[in-house]
Amino acid sequence: MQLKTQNKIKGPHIVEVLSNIKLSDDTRKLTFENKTIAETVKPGQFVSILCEDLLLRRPFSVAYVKDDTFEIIYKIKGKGTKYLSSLKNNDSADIIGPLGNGFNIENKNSLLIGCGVGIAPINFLSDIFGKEKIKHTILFCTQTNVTLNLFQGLSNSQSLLKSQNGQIPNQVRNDNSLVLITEDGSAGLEGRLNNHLENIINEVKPEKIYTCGPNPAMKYIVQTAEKHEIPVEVALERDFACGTGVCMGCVIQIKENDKPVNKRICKDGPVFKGSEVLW
Amino acid sequence: MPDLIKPDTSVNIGKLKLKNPVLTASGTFGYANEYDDFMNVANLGAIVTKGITLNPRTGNLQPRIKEVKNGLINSIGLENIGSHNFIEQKLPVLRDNNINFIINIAGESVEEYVELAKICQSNNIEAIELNLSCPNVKSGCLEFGKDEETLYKLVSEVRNCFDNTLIVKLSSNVSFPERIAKTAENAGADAISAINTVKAMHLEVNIAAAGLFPARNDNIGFKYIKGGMSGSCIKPLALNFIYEIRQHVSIPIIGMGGISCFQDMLEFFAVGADAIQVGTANFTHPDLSETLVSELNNFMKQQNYESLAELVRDLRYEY
Repeated sequence: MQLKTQNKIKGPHIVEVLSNIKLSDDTRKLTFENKTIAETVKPGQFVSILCEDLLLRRPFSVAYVKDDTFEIIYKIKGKGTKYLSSLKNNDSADIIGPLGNGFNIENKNSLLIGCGVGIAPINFLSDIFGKEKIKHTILFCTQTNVTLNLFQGLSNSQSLLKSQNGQIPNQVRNDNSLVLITEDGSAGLEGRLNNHLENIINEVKPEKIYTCGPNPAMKYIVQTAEKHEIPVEVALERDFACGTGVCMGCVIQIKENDKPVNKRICKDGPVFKGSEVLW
Repeated sequence: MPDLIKPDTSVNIGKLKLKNPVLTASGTFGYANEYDDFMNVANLGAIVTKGITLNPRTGNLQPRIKEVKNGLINSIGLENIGSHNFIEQKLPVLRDNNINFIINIAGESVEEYVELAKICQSNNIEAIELNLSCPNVKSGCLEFGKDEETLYKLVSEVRNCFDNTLIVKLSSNVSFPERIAKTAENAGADAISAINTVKAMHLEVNIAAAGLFPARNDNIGFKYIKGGMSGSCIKPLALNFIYEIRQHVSIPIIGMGGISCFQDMLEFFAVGADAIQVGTANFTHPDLSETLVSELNNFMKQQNYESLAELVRDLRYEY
């Protein structure tokens, strides 16, 4: 019997580093060049990067795709991300992916919420929503303003300035709004997600919410959305050993027909229905 | 052109004839063709499936994995789909894709191992690997691999109902490796595979400005994981274990424990292994096992080795 001929479609790819840009003190955006990944990756999917002397690869959501290039956003936290921060133009990296399942894009008025480095897949998702002309509002919730460098070519920086009276800042991208919440108040609304989410939901009236961020934030979003009967898709993370679904290291309990079942975040997810996650 | 002569990399493990000595270790490669996105799985000597139990298991609670320096501690707890689902869903995939495979089986009692072996026999499975050493399940498994008497009983009973290649996977967490290995051989094992993960623990003691965190009387305890360690940090243990048992058994040994490059593979041959399994390194380099196959071929061509047996002979040495 003849085997399928297309092997190695998910790598390892040796990819070129194009740039490594500072978004804030500890947050960076890395741009890589690789046609296969750029052509196939969907918002919510991730790539797994070999980080120098570390035994295990580190997973990162893809944050943006343009032509043959793709981006990731990372926060410098441990050895792996420290290694990433050392990469510069013309360096290469060993990457596998795209891995996991992306968000299910529906033509519904949507609220896209990214918290912390969880802005990465949300940024990519919003770009696709824009291209598909699906009505959406982006909500980024970060410690400090990381967006000025995130949206290159975004001229209307006025709207990123601190708004008064807790009002949602002006629209910055065509018909869709970008709302910022920064803990230090350096842009958009000051405070944390729970200070503003109810207001934003009441104003935007989303039919669906997509989110990525720390678990407590996503859990809060799911609970808040439930009150408004809005379905939520969450992109989860956890330490992965394989990232490909074989090791069973990253399983989480998900409600399936009202019974808890183990699902692998890396392979069955990382995107799940918020209402099904047993946090 | 010497290139036209393909060196003979085959090796026999019991009745099982492997086209090359590169296998992938149980629990690191899925059930069947999961790694197809990274290689042609059929190019490998064989894959060893995820450990299969009679009934499905949901495994342990989180945390299940922790990376340590050059190693990985796991506490998966044998989560698997169970023998019935495996035979129904995965066996056809293995056969349709011409993947050579060995089924790793784990039981909680002698009866369960025997029942699993019978299921394998009735499905004409060519080879099974008895998981006698999983450190992450509370009953069964590990205990069978420690005590010579129970090991003998278990292996011989499985032997009585399974005609094809029977491999016994051993733990290094034993006082007398050579006795355990010899017992497996005497009980009818066709081969030994070693080593399984090594019992290990990781915890984090945090010190804050005010002293210990959490504080002494918070009664929260420290974050910890107990499990089995794998990765390159266990390679020296594995090499020594295999070297020690090689002197005492004549059946083939499938060596594993921290293999992450071609050189590592040769080291295992040198101390007594006849074939090897790549484990944790599959996570880091998902195409490593296939790369080892081609590196072995190239090396043998370059060095004019016609057969693997010849190469292994040259590597062996009474250390």
